[in-house]
Amino acid sequence: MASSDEILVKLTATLKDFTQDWDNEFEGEYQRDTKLLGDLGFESIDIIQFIVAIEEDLGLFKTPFDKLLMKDGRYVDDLSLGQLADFLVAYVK
Amino acid sequence: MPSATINGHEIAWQQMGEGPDLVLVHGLATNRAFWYLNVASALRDRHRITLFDLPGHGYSAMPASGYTATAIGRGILELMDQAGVAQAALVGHSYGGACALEAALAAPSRFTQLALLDARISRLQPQMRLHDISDLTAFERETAARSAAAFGYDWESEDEVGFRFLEAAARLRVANSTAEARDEFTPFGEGRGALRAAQQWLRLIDTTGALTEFHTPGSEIAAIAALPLPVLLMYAQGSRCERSGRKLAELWPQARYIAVQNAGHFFPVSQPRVVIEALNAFLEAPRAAAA
Repeated sequence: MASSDEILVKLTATLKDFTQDWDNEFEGEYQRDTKLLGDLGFESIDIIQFIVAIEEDLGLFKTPFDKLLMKDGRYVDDLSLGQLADFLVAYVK
Repeated sequence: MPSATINGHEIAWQQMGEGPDLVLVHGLATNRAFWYLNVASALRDRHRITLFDLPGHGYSAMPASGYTATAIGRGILELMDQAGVAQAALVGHSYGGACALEAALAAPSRFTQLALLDARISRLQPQMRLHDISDLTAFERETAARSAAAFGYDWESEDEVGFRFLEAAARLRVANSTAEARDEFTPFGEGRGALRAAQQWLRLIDTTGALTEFHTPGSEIAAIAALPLPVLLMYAQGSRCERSGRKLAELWPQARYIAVQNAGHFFPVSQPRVVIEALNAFLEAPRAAAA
């Protein structure tokens, strides 16, 4: 099983590829606390598409991302790379 | 990335869940996240759901043409071929409903059921005027006033207010002059990403034939009336699209009609539970009858 930090490295690579064509103001390094909406300007479709890219890059299938995106019956306002990595620990072999 | 080539252009799509096939079609100026975040997650336990971005939306390509409901309806059938979906229940919201109707009319044997949610059908409702409904929302009032002042829009003589509101909201967002009022769902109102969504919408209507093609009526009324499928009609009470819903209900007396109370056009986002429960009941009915 991969650790959260190992997954974070892979997520960062996927994210760089994913956002390479974006005209983005974000110029820092991707960190655990980098937020997809607040820092990177994602909108909801970008999260959905990023999830699809993560599944492809990490060889995952039918990961229940709803559990990560929903909290108390509502969709979360934002999501950090660290939260994403922590969530994926249970699913990445 | 999962993508299909439809009419020579890339369509972004994905599947989730297991069970009988269900295809969900979003409306204008949104994308497949419209369904994913609110409805698809709740239906994936019972269905294999196919979601896609309309041409010119989300992660799909933006071709110069191919935006009529008829063309997109044909595209739905091609996407089903490429996605391995032989037969499905089909659900469309708003313009996605008009496209879904055309797909169902073109190949009814590919579908088990059709659900239209606040879908305006141009053939039955050729115009959409400001005072078709008595009350404008706070967001509409402010957007109309701001866009009239900034861009000279003449709302009283506009006969396509639905499209014009989207355009006005997008132009005001890009001009950083967006209305402060919020509806239960506000187009281009969501966070920093809203600017990119507004820019994408303006690119679509300014650089392609989409806006003209959106107006193009689809099948004739007689063909619509002859659709041989179980139909669910869900319309927000007081919505500008309600006129289409009533006319469809007249053409299809056997259709199930649900008037969604206290809701606006975007009720699949603002009231997803109502939609999920209605779809579950509608989609289960034939199987329950067969059991």
